[in-house]
Amino acid sequence: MGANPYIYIMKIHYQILIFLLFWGTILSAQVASVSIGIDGLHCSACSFGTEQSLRKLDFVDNIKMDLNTHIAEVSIKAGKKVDFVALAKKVVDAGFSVRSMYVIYDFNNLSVSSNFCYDDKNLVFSFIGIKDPQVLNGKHAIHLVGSDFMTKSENKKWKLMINNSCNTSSDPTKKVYQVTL
Amino acid sequence: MKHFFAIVFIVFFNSSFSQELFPNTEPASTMPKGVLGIRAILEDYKEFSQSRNQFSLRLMYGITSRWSFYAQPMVSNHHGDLLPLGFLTHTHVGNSTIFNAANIYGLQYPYTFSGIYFYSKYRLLNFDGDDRHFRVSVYGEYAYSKVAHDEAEPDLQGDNGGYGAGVILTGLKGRLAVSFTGGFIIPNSYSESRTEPYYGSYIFQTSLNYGNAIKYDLSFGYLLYPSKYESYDQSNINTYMEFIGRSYGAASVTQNGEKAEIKSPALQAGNYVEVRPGIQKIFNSNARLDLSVGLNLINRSWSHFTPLFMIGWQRYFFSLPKKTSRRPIIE
Repeated sequence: MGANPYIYIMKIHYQILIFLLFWGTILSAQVASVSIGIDGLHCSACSFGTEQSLRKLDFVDNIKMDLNTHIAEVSIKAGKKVDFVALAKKVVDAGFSVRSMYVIYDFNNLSVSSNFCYDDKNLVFSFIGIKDPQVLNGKHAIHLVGSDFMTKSENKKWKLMINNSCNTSSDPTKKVYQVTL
Repeated sequence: MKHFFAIVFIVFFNSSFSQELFPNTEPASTMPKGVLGIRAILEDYKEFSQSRNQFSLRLMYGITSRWSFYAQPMVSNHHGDLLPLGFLTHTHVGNSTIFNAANIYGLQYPYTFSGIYFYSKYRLLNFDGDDRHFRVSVYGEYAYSKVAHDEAEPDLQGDNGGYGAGVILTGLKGRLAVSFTGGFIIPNSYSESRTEPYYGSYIFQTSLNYGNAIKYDLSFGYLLYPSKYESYDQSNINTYMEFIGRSYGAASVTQNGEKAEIKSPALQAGNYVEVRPGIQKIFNSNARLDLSVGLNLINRSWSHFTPLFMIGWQRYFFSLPKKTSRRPIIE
């Protein structure tokens, strides 16, 4: 006699369930969107030009630009590798400067503290300047640190805290980003 | 007048947006990288009964985020093929050109290609803040022209070939944008040979060296509408007050190898400041329509008459990568 068809179906369901759980983890641990504060902007035509510049990047899905606060909410295409330096460069290409850049990231019970290295599928986050260890679950805004992502004066404050201990030996194409909460 | 300037000053410094898309001068800001811009400019002034027009088509490109390049061919009815007879003694009174006491008129010229003007600007410094910036750029300009311009004052956009360079400082805070341009112009000389039937087909050679010039322009821009941005589709209205200053040396003329005596004030050294109020409407955060009028403030220009009307239309073309086609869904 062959295998019990009921058990066979249950096995398939179990496999699907495992796959969905695993897939869910992949989906949840990723960049949801990026919020870019832009300096030097004034007219709506300048905001429009900056938005058009950002839209040239293939991982950009959509952009919501606040014309009064000059904050661009950039949503990312699912599964695409995000290059935050490329985003900053597009703002500069349009003739303006990055005031701040926040990554809206979907975490899955991640305990973070200063000098903690988080190895994502596509990038590495090096957490700095965190007073008390925290557990991140769900969407959190993390602040990118570095000369590409903030004003010169702000960057000076963070320069001494940079943590270079995170390595990407598993995948040299990965970029290490200094971040704080 | 004092009250007017006080009100303008208070309004400018108490608002939160500003504009530097000046109709008559260039700001220190450069074009976005990889973006093409097109600007059509029509200028008009009246010389006696003649309406003098110049149509310019400016193509602009952002080579890098800091470096822009423009090319601008021009067509006008400002000049003839040869210098007007009596140009050494002519003068301007009001909107008339007087070539001699008995002959007051504006000569009729057909429309002709008057030259091509090239301009390049490089942004050296920028200090960007929230709703503010201060920028410093340097520029270079070069023009090719063969028209018979008959005044000392050089103008690379239509009248003369030559080159120039300068610096632009633009500050922006609140609703006010202020920009200063300081530079120099070194025009090429003009020469012609004409046959004079009156003298029995005598060949008459004239060479005209125009004066070198310095320019000092000061522009103010102010966003009138909206007080709060709502969408890209919302129209913007900007107002401008620009002061165009020129100071130039005297021309020298050689005729058949001999230095000619210059009696025309238009060929002597001079300086002037023109005020050019303007208004601008921005459509869909991209296209813009400019209107301005140039009026004498201190002395007068000898190369054009006032009021000098200008209408300009500009838009940018953002090159976007073509959207990748989605895979067909096979059912």
